[in-house]
Amino acid sequence: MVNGLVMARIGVLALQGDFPMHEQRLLALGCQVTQVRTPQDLTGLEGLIWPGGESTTMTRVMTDELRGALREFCSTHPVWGTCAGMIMLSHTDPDPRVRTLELADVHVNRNGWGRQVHSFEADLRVVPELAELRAPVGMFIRAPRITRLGPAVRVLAWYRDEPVAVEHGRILLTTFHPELTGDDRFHRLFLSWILSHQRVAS
Amino acid sequence: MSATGTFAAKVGLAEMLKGGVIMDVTNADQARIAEKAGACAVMALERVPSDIRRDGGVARMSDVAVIREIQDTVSIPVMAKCRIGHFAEAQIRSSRNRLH
Repeated sequence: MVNGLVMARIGVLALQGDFPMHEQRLLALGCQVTQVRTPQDLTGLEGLIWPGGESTTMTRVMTDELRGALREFCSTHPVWGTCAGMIMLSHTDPDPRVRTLELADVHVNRNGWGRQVHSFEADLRVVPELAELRAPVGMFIRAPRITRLGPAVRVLAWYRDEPVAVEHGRILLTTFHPELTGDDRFHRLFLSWILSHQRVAS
Repeated sequence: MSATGTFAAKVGLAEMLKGGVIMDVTNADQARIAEKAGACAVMALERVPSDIRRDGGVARMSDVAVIREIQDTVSIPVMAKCRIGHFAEAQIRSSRNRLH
């Protein structure tokens, strides 16, 4: 217990991708972390991070049972998708290789910046509540690009004038990888969502 | 300020491939099968190790036209090697990358 709040129990979807990096960041912030591979792993969790990786691989290795459980969990708990995780929670152009959950009112273009040779890092502009002394560095690895945002979606960060981090209800989406840089402000933001959820629940 | 080709961007790709299978392929058909089966990346080779064991010799860099065809076929990352120390092959590979 810290400040009267129970240690946050957060899941990291571990089908494929950079789930170990997210796990490290959460452990450093004092969270209890579970690697999620089956519907049963979601029991008792207060939030979920859907990490980056390959959306085609995630589509292929996900069972229908897990897909249903994730849809249910992500509709009722705080959830954060980075890169491929963001794609899986959003809408994307029709492609038989990728089946997304379409829970966020956001449309993305996969590999919107090009191939790996075009992967880049850049300083981002953020909303005041995320501002600190230094601008966060966005790591864009074969990243998706946002093509459309619904009316209920709020932008949290921009690269140039383009939205790269957004929130829709309790769904946080980043096209870049905060877990790859030393800057943990997005992890802290997500954690604050979980803690306010705890307050509401108790 | 933005920068491509940084060490962190390269390490970042490796992080994304974790927990996945990278399959050796020699043409676009094999790459399509690998992607469909759930591979997180393919390695475009002139010959796979079993071909080399059977026939002997060495594996050279893949034909750049074949690499391009594989890149156009799948959406997962495509890697290609050149022979160690063969800077001319490496230059051909990098020039193809720049052209894309």
